[in-house]
Amino acid sequence: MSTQAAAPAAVPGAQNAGGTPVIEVRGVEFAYEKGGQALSGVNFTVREGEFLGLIGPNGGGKTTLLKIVLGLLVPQKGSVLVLGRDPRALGADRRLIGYVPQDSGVRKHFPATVLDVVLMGTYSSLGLFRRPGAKEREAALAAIRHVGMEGLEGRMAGGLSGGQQQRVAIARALVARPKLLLLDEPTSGLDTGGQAQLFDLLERLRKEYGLTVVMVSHDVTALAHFAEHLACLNKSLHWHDRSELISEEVLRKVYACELDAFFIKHREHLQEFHGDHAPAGHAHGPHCDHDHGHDHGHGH
Amino acid sequence: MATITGTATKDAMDEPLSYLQAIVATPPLQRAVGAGALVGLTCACLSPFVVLRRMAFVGDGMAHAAFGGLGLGLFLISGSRSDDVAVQAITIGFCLLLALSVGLVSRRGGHHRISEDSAIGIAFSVAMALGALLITLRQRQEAQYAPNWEGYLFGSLITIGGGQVWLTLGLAAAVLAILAALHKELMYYTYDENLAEVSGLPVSFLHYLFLLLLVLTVVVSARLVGIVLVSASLVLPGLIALALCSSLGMAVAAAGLVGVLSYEAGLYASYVWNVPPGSMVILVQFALFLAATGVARVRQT
Repeated sequence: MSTQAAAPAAVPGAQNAGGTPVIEVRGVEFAYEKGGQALSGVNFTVREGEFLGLIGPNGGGKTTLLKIVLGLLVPQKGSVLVLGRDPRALGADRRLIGYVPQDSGVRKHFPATVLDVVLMGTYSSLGLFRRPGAKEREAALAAIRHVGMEGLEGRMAGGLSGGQQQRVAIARALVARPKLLLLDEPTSGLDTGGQAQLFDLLERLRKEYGLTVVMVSHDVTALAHFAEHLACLNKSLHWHDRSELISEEVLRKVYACELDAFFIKHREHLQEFHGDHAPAGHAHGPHCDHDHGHDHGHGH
Repeated sequence: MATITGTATKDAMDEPLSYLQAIVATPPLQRAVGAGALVGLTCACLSPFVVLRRMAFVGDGMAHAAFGGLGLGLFLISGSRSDDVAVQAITIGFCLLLALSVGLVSRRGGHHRISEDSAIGIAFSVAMALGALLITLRQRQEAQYAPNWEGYLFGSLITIGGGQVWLTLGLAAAVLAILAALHKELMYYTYDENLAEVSGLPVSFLHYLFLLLLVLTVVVSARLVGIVLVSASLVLPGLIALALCSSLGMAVAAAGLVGVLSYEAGLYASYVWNVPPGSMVILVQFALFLAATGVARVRQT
């Protein structure tokens, strides 16, 4: 088992040698031109079908990391592979990365119906000059059904509630048939019921589509309940593999994020789920070597 | 018959002619009617994008920058007039260069990134200053040259030549063809630049293509209808259409219609009341804007 080989210097996430790596981040450093260091020495791997929750304080670099994975920002140091390739060189395969931005990307005053917005997800695979046809329409309507927005396809997208806009944004990402779904603070505008619905939806989609999901949030409680893994990012990202259920104390620590970071495999049912391909002590694997000497100052 | 500000006057006629009779009888008025419709159409079709992308100030800045290009052209080519093809070409080149620098500075800025509106603010005022300086120098070289200051600001639709009409027609055709061909790409880009880029659309290409269309439209139009009217025409029809339409395609079509109608109404009013057409066009568009916002309000409740 690779666990045994996982020396302290091993890359976090690699212990779970189950699926194909979808995201591989190695030694990433990123600094904004004016704001100083945003990310330093970030290493992790996310494998096919996993649900990683990324938490951390504001300014901790969560959105920066997502943008790097998306290929919108280029790190000054280190390497990023998404689906085994440089995210900036994915070309038309960029559609394989679904992205739900922080504000759900729904423009309040833009003249577009729900169907129009979801159809945008098909644009890049259509190529230049071609308009979406019956096939794309069908796919868009199916995605709208999938996120539970059936019957609302003719409504103006800008007039929807926050939760509905999130669903539209997810449907737009889904219609391109992505392998990886990145969500930036999707729960921020939602009430508790809306959040639970969103997580249920993601769980369902993950199973049906075999999606790999990375969600950025500062809502630790919700993520702790639904995400399979939790990582905390505060400029740097360090990982723990833990077997116990998330405790009050751990949550408090994670919230504060004063300690480096946590990568927590938690929740019994998820362990069972993973027990199939990574039995025995994988979850008790050696803790990562902690470099407590690094600077805790906030990034940009 | 046409004053320097381009009033479509009927005073010179012995008998009052109806507007239609006047059009048939006077080629300058025919050109004004044709070019006005084309300028109105082109600016208006771009205006929903300008409004949604919050680029009103870009259009405004470029319209003013055109004045700098004009000054440069007049200064460099002795004996030239403002509607010479060479002067127009220099103006377009000057504005493209300026737009490109603004685009570069604000989009992929280096360590000293300047926000887009500041960059335009600088380009805008420096170009105007340069234009004023160069036109004055030109006047010194050539004492009999009388610059048409008012014409630059408020246009002179009534005094345009046939070549201008063809240029405007070519521009309108090019802009409409590109908007039609790249409709979905421009729509996604306008909706959300980041998302469009993430999904694999050539966002940089679309950014500079749209800037190019905007500059060409602004430069050609500013010569005909003036800086002030171009700025209005790039914003008001878009706002009117966006208040009423439920899709971007419809909004572009509706804005185009508003553009053509407001220019024709403005020209007609200018003929009937003997006032400058530019102000009438803007006032017509503003009245439509008030009406459209009213309708949108009523619909909401």
